[in-house]
Amino acid sequence: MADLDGRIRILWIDDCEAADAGEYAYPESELPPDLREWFCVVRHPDIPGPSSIRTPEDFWPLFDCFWKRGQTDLFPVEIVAMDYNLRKWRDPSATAVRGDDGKDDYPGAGGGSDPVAAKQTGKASQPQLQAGFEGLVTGVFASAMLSAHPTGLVPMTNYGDALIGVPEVRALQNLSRPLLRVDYSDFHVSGDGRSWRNVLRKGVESLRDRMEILFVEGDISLSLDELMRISEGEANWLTLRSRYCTRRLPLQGLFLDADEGWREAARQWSTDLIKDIVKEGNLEALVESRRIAETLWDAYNDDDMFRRRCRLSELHDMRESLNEQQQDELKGLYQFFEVANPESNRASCGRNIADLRALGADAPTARWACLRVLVKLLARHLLCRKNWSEIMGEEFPALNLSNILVEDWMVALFPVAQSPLILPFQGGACSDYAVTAWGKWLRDNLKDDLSLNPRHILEGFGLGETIEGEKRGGCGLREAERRILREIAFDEPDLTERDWRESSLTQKVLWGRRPS
Amino acid sequence: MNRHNEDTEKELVRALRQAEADDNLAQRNLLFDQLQRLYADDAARLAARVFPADKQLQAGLKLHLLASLKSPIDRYNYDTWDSFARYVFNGWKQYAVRDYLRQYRTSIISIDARFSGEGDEPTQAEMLADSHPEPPKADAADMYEWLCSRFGTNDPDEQAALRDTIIGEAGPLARRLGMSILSRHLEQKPTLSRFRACRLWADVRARRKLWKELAKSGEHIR
Repeated sequence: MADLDGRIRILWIDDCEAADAGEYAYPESELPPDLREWFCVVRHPDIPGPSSIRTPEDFWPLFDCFWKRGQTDLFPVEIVAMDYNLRKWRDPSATAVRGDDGKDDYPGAGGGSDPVAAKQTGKASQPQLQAGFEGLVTGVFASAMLSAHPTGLVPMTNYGDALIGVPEVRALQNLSRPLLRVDYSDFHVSGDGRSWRNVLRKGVESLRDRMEILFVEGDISLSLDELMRISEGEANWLTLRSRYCTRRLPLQGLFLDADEGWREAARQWSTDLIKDIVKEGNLEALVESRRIAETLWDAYNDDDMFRRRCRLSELHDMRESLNEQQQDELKGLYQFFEVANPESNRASCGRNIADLRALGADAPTARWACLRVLVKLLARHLLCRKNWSEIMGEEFPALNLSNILVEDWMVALFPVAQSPLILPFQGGACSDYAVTAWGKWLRDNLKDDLSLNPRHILEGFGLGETIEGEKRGGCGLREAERRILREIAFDEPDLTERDWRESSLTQKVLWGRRPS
Repeated sequence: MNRHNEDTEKELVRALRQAEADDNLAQRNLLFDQLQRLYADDAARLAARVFPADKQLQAGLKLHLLASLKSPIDRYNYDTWDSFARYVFNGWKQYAVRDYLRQYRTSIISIDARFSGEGDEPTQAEMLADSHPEPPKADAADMYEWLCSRFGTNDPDEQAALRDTIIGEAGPLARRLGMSILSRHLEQKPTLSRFRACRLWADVRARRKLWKELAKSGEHIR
């Protein structure tokens, strides 16, 4: 379902013929070369002309492959650029402007009349305009069909606002304006200002507007990782996931209208967008937590370091009964981890460690880092199950992995632990995680002041509640946190939103436990 | 096949033929996949009718029906799924039961070679078949045990961690190791080949049972 072409798609609704150029063919018949890098016009296989659709009849053959068969190589589009009158070359009466006497004031010579000329000569001050507006109908219809995907709708017509007097046009504009956020007040994309640059400047403005609405309402997903990098001025693309497909949009195109420069505009926009969903949360903590989580996750995946630390724990535990070789091994490990006073009750490792406590994160940052690590764990679990079933087929027994447990999570938060020397879950022992040194640290340091409840061991954070998707006594995730966590999860490579939704394990964490 | 499916099938086949005529490979592959999915549903329905009480045999028959489709167009040449099943079943009867292992070993080799692109070279599946003349026992735990022993690692601790992780008996530290091994192996191509070989070998076992049952109960397909 992913279409990563990397250009913003335009559905161009216009009856223009190649011969129209210079007269009615607005904008240019081809995108200017510098815009082609970021935009592309959807081509209709059966239409030779430059536009995507010339009549309403052209629409379904083009749309059908997407709507019925799920093909996403042409649709959904991000910009719908629509001319209003699609009959000016076929049906002269469609552009007739009638005077009070009912006669055509401006009959088209061999083709339609010229309503612009009508306006310019002043004769159109009172006439009853009979022009067609099928393009408006088609554009609004297409955008409404795609309302779950952000689409910027750009009206472009030489009629200016002359058609506003037509009740049907007024009705369509009134119906579509609130949903699609169309700006019907400015027709400067046509007439003298006609150019793709002008059309697209309006189009991306409207597109971003729709993206904001759909994102904040949770109807689409934007890569949170990329948004953060954009807010730091680092990224050039933004990945968008709607119910239809995943699209990758170039920022230089998406901010074509930014006079102050696309990077600065993108930085401001993404910062505002993140703030919108983080709400009362701490944006800096969310950003910084990425680095902390990556450090922990890298260490967790380092088999060699993990084994060494386990071995230190094991040998230190058995230090009274080791043979000579094992004693040498233990001594080597003490040196490697710089354990200064191994016999002390508070002995700890001085170097080569990866431990949440040692990374200097404040409480909100550490809290988000914990959640990011949990997402990594869930992703690994999910990917194993997915790869297994893809490789082994339905007929082979499914992978019988146990669910992610709090203990797994804690091991990932303290993968090469500073202390204690004897690891909490050594030898398969599943002691109560909350009474371990790690559990105590989490309890004391990751309290959530908003929901402090002394009756719970891990006040406000609730590792168990988070995994079970519950909210008990102030513990567990708030919906706003889950929302952010979902965006973080959707950024994981090789997994789709559907993968996350279909697993009961991840369902609980990311969407919360459904009431039974 | 219900009315809705028939209509969909007709439309897909028509489009598929058109795509083939147009030499539009991308479109043809897309339609082919859609048709395969449609047939997978139908094959499952037919298998459930033939072996209503045995899920394993249902799965085996479904697999057989789909494997017998060299192209979805084959199926379309038969009026109904029942007539297609009769054709497939008669095809199966041409093989003597005593030859089944040879037949399926041949198909294992050809399938695995296609996956691995190794051509005529001896495949992992072939070597596996030679070194394991008897397939593993039927229950899932034995299958996992056997599978873990087939991983590239010779470290008994790793094998134990992997097995305990898969069957849900590992402690948190061992589970970290088991998951790491599992995810690494599931992402790597050489391991995929081993996994596929295991699966195909398991298919032989399932097919042997299916074969015997079909000899008894295949009558009501006809």
